[in-house]
Amino acid sequence: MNNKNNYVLEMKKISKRFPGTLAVDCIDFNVKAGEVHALMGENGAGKSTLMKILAGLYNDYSGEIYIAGNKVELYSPYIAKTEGVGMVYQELSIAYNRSVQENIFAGDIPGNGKFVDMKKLRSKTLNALSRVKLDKKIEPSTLMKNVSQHESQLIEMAKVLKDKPRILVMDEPTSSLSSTEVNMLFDIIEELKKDGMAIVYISHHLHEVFKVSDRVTVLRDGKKISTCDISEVTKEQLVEMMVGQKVTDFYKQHAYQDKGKILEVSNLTRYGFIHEVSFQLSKGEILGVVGLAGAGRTELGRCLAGADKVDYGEIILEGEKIKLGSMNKMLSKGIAYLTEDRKLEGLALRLPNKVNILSSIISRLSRFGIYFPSKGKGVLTELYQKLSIYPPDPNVGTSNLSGGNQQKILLAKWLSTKPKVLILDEPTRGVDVGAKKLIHETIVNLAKEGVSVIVLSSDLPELVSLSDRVLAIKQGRIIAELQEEIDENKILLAANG
Amino acid sequence: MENVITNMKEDVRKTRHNIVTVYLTKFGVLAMIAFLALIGMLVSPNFMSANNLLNVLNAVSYLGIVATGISFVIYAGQYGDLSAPMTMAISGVICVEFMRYGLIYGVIAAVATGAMIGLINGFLIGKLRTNAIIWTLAMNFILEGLVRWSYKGTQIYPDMANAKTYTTGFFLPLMMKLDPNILEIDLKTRAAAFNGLASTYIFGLPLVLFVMIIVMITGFIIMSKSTFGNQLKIVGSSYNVAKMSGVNCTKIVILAFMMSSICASIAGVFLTSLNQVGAFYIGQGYDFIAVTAIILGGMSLSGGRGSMLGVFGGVFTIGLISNILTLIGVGTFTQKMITGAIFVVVVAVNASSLRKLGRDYA
Repeated sequence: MNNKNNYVLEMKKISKRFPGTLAVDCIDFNVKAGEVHALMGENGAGKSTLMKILAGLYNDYSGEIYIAGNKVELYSPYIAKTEGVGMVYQELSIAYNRSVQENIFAGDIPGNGKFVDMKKLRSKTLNALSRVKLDKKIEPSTLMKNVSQHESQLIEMAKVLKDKPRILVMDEPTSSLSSTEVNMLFDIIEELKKDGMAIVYISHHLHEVFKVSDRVTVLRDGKKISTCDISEVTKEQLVEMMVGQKVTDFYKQHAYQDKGKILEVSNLTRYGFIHEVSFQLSKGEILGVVGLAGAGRTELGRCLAGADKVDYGEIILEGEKIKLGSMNKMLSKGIAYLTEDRKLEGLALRLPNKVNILSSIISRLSRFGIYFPSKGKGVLTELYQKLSIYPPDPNVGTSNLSGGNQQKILLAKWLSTKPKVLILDEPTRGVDVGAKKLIHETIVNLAKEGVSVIVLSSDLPELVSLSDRVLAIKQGRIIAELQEEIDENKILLAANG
Repeated sequence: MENVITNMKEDVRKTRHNIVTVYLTKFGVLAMIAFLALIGMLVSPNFMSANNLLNVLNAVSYLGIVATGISFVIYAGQYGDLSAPMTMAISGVICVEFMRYGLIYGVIAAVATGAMIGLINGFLIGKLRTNAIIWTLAMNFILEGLVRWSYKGTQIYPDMANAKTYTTGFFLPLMMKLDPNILEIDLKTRAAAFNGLASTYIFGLPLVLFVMIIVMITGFIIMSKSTFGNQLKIVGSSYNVAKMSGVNCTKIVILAFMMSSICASIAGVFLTSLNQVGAFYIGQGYDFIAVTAIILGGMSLSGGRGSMLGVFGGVFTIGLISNILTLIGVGTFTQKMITGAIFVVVVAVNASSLRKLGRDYA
């Protein structure tokens, strides 16, 4: 094979079909040595599938893959690994009760086959950690559960790097990192580049892509839209390529008039998570809640919704004092909570969309113990139209939908309960731009109709554009309230206390 | 809203449904029945006779009742109810104890016993989230000990009525104490009524077959039409999602286990009547065969998937296999090995076909 372009990886005319969809449609993709190639696209564009093919997770793709000029057939993860493909997934795979060194060298522990050579394991681990600049910070025998989140992510990277891959794929590596940690990661990437590694960088964050990558490829609906040097494109052009149409403006800010108090929370406490949280909420108000990871944002939402036990505190809804109880009870009072973990707690992916949407109002659609799903048909059609869910057939299994459409289904599920207070935990996490815009508009419209919305989010632009008021929470306590002229800087400062 | 969504784009990817896999998962059990019928006809000319098929149905009626119950547990994603055999046995024993006041009292007491056992199972598994397999296995063991201990190792015959009978058992000593004249009861006719349960025929069909049909139709309605059944589907598909949807998961799991135990106790009464003796070994092996039948019928061990019609198909298939094997002269022990092997194969095929369809997650 000719190798004049110095491509470490060449993927030619790659296609992969799933039941129901052509996830990757005839894509050409290549990466040079010492280059960071960003892969972008909305959810469901085919990024992950393309990279999973590269990692050897599918043995039924079509097309040709060349690594360093040699044709390879990546039919198993093991083959992919030996051919030099290293994959850092978004979700970490860690045995938390084992040490750092055992996690890094799991499956490849040095020794004579009977006993472990601890000294060698330690030195090899330090060596591996040095590539992610952790060798001076972490002792190899530390248990993984005592290691912080961002360090775990780097350890996961060290685990992949120890096999000396030629191609490193990173899937959303910064999704749980703070900005300083992101910069550390970029330093590491810079060094890997100098070593001549070919890096594929998947991300939704435009500014990261501009900062770290050399070239960018945009996918949409399983097809390649374009590959270009990063210096040749602007942010607007990239977004346009991803979305498929020019996005002129983002959502509009909500302007609400006070229509009277609906919810009054006082001294809500769950020991160890939230402490004496008090606030008020007006009818039709959108209240943003900001906080760093672990600040108690999600816990506040869960406690209000009755998903977690509350130790003490009081909730007054429409002047009526509510005894805190189960989720079912809070739901019947009109408090609904949309979880941040769509896959685990939000939707049963294997069920059809209509079942998922109606799952929390089964008892409401029942008479004398018999369930009448036909009564939910009107709601279903209305929600499908309102949220323009694709495909428009409610009988389709939820797992066949893209991430953005799944999130719409999740929102529809809670809208079907006709809540008075809707708590949204990260309503647009991992959702493409189009769906995000639609979800935001839906939230604003809901508020106009008089539903009070609490948005728990780490997405600052989202909070700025949606919220009428923002509460900052830190270590389980409300430490600040922003009411006027909310901007990202103010929110960030408030959240950091 | 001024800025209406402008970028509503159509997903251009084509859709395709693999007819073969869809139909195989949907009608797999029907194909199996047809295949077995074909083999049956080749094996014996008597196979297709109404009499033989009726025998098959009669023989699997007990299994059908138990499987209907256990299918609720599997539907809930709890793998199975291994306490079914002893629930059958203890219900039979209790029925024999109480039928001396009248058959109907016996049946009520038996079903109440089943409901109690289901309640305990459901509470421990639904509320305390213990592992269903381990707990029901333990429950089975406890119940076996209970029966053998309280009867001091003896069995109970419906028509046995001497003074010694009233010294062992669960409620018999108490009955004696409350009413010393209990020995005077005309046990013969009542025992005959009880023993006749399994051999009662209506319109030329065995009563137990009618009971199975009623239980299955009721089960079908509960599973697919009731509030409980629809919430059960969510719980079985994903416990966490159900919990976060405001479904009272504990209650649902308790009800599922109660369904299982109540069905087991109904089958236990009939099986005890068939054997004309109450003993700890009544119902042995029914747990496993029932689970096999349910899986054969297309219900997924991972919960939330399958139907009562499939359960019936699975039960009928088990009956046909057993019938054919008997017709060609295969012994009971060999049949056991074959049933076990079928279970392994079916579970493997089920799991791999689901994985191919890409539905084996969440």
